[in-house]
Amino acid sequence: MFNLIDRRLIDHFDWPLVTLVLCLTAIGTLNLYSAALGEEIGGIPIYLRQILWFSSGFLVMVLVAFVDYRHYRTLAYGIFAVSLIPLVILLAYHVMYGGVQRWIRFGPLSFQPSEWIKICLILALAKFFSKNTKADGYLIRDLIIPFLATVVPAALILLQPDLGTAITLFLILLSVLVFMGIQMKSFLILVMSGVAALPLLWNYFLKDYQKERILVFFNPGLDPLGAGYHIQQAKIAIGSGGLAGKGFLGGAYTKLGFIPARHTDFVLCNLAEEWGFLGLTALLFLFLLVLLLGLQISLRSKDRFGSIAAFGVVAMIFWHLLINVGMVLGMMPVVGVPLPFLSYGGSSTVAVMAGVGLLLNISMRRYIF
Amino acid sequence: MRKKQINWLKFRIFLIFFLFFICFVLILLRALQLQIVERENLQELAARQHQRIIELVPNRGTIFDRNLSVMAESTEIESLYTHPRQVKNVRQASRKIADILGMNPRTIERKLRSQRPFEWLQRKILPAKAEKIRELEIEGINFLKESQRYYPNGWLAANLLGFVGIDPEGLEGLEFQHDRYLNGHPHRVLLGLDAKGREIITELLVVPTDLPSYSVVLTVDLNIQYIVEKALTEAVKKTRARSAMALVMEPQTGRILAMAIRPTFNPNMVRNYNGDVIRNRVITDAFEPGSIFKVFLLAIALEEKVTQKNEIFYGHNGRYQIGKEIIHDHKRFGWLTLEKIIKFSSNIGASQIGLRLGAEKLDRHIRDFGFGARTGINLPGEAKGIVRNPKSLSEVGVANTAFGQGISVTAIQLITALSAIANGGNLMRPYVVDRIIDQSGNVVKSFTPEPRRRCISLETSQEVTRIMKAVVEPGGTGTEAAVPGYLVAGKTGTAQKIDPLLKKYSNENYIGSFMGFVPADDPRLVILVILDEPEKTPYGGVIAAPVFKTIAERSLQYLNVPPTEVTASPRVERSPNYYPRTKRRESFPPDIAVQPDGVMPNLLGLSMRNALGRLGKSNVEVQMSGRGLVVKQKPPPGSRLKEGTVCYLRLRPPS
Repeated sequence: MFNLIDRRLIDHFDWPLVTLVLCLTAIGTLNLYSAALGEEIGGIPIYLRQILWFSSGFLVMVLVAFVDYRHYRTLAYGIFAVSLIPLVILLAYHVMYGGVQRWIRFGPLSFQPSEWIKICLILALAKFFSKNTKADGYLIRDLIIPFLATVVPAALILLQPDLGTAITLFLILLSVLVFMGIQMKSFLILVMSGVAALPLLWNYFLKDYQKERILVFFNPGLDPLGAGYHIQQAKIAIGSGGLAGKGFLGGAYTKLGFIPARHTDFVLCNLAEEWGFLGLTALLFLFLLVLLLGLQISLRSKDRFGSIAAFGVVAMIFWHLLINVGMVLGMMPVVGVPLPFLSYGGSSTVAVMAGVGLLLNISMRRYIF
Repeated sequence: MRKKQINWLKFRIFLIFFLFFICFVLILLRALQLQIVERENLQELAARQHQRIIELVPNRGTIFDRNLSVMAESTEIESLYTHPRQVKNVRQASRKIADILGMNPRTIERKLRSQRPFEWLQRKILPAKAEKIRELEIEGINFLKESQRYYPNGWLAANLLGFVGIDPEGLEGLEFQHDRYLNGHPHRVLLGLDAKGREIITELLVVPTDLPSYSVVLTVDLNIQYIVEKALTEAVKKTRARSAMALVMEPQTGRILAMAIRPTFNPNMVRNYNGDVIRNRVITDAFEPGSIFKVFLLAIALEEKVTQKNEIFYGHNGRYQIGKEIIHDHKRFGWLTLEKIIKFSSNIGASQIGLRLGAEKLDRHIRDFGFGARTGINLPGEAKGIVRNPKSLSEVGVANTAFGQGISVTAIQLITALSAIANGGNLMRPYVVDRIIDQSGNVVKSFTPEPRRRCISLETSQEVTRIMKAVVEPGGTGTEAAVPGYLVAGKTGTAQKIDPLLKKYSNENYIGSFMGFVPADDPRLVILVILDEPEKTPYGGVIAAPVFKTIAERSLQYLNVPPTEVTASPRVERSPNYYPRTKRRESFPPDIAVQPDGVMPNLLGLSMRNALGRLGKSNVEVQMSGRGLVVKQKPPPGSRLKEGTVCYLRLRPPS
């Protein structure tokens, strides 16, 4: 069952991808060291904690990579169903106690089930679409099951409330649909119904602060000291970086506490302030390479499941990147989405590393069949 | 997988990658916009937000007289501060500094041991002390330049100007009333600061203000002000009056040309004075006007036509009974014409006219003249005075009002009402600020004469003027006010003051006053002189009229007002040595007695060409520096010019 010693696996191990990811984690750690300079959680400096998360992430990555992904295919629905359980537990907690919770605690550890559900949804979708193929594109009625599979966790997450993650789930579904080929008519109907659902979403699901953030995005002058504050401060920090930045540890503006969530969602501010436009460009280039390698893996995969799953992981990384960077640069409304490899956070880091593990897994087994 | 499918997949993946790429380009364009295009803007914002701002005492605008001579200005002064962590020997340093400043060493020491990176030690230090501290050369002890208000003319027009506090906010007078224009935005010192408000950097950066203050140009003429102040000083010395005030107004416009009060204060050392001296009593204090008020009674009577020009009134031999009260005159008059009632200032005559008018009409017209209401001069603390409700007024009350008792008025009300008689019947709003200008001299706001209402007809005003001229003619009460060469219209006043203890009119305390305008038929100046509680003779005609004369004579000469063609020259006997002309020892104000041709003209604000044109007639040597408009001239306007006098002009571009 565990082909750990298969020589071909070592031969075809995707070293470039691992190298890239190692680069990104190194950048992420250094940047976090600077952004959260002197800050601790539970007596441990944030960057050290993140190193711990990266280490766990690498472990998970290796584990995920070396279990033949065909086993995942077999177990995909089961894994997905199990990953829903913590979300339901959180919902039950919400209903019973009225509080808002994103984390589930196990003693000293806590994890965010909404981060895991992304990978699990990718596996489930990959299995569904690899089993149900349509040569001339999917119709709406073919998509009821994947749609439900997305809506259920998305709705649960939206109640937490975590708009960003809920949106990413839908974007992953949409990306996979485009990748698989959907009839233009069906695609349009989906998009239209999505648009039609917006007022519903606005009125019944969004919290006031979320509405405010969106309103402020379209009219930044609305409330410069309130909801517009984050965007404005982020812009100032990034803009003050200029072309080449202020140098490592030089990002005074971010460090002085003007940037909210400067080690999580807005961690990019610090990088942009300290390394400037050049640093930002270099970082985006690395990300683009990761996406490129991911797409290549998807293309080269010998089976449908691998191809779809690899693409799903690429889509996940891409959307996180786009939403986060767009938000930090003030191109999109503020919805809390972490930046892969850079934002501090255990669950999201480990989940992304697991995604990379899946990519590696598919990559090195491309010659097996 | 089939080949066709693979190719299709390849195409789609390529397409998707292309979409990714587009997104990245968009992101980079956005980053380019923020980090390159808007960089400076955002960097400035960043700097601004994480710095603590210490505000320095801002520069206040200048107050100019109408010829742009400085009446109040801001000058530089140094303030002492410390970066406590840089001071090495704290104990020794604090002892030395405290020594020089005359402060408690412990206060200084506490500041030097402060945890904050910046502490003021003392603001606004005298230059000599600052120099001594600088000589100590203590590390961490430094100076910042702040500004301090300075009144170059000392007590001149002090009550009008007011003064400022330490910040410097205007606290009294014009400084208070126009604070929003005069008070500049402060220069700021920036200290590094994190978002939680802790100061982290100790380098100081002085940021000049982006919004400078405005300056105020008054209607007041510093030369006339000086004439008035000087005349008033001498009068107070001579009469030993407890207090005094004098006002000069341009009757057609309501512009105040001079406003002086005794005793007054030096606004440069305002802490040494109490509030009574500082208050602008011309505006804030109401008093019983007494006989000068008969001028208005006369005007009202003529306006209401309750009397004929040649009607005569019986003087009742100085005792006139109304009800239980008896009204007295200072002389036993027999039959009096209207003119003589004013000329001799008969209370009994005035009472009869007042009774004929009745309470209602009298009240309406008194209010028409602006009594019992604020004039709207736009100075702080203006009083309304008291005009009693006509319904509650007894016959005696009406009679009293007619000769200026039982009514209280302010000096500004009196001169404004008299201006209405002088200008043909228009009650003007008095004003002291002509315009507000920015630092380049551009007008920000300007004020124009504002007629409030017509209170008497032209004929009435002419008739009142005719009768007032008689006051100054021989035999009248105001002969001392006559100005050689000019026709004067005036009225004396001698009001008993109410003894605050006995609650009745005092036989010892009087207010002697004179008000009038000149030249009578084409008035240029309306002048009011009030002397409160003079020690010797109380009569306005004796004590106040000569002050009027001095002010009128010198001001008319200064203004180059041509003498009136006097047909029947009222050669006036002056009481010998009563009011001797003083020698002009002071270099200020301009010597106004000299011939216009040999006098240094006022060149301020003129272009070089115009200035040279004005000087062209005089045979003087001109030296100039700078370009633009004349901002400084030496000798000052009005100085006598001899042949070969060197004139220095400094010019500055207007913006």
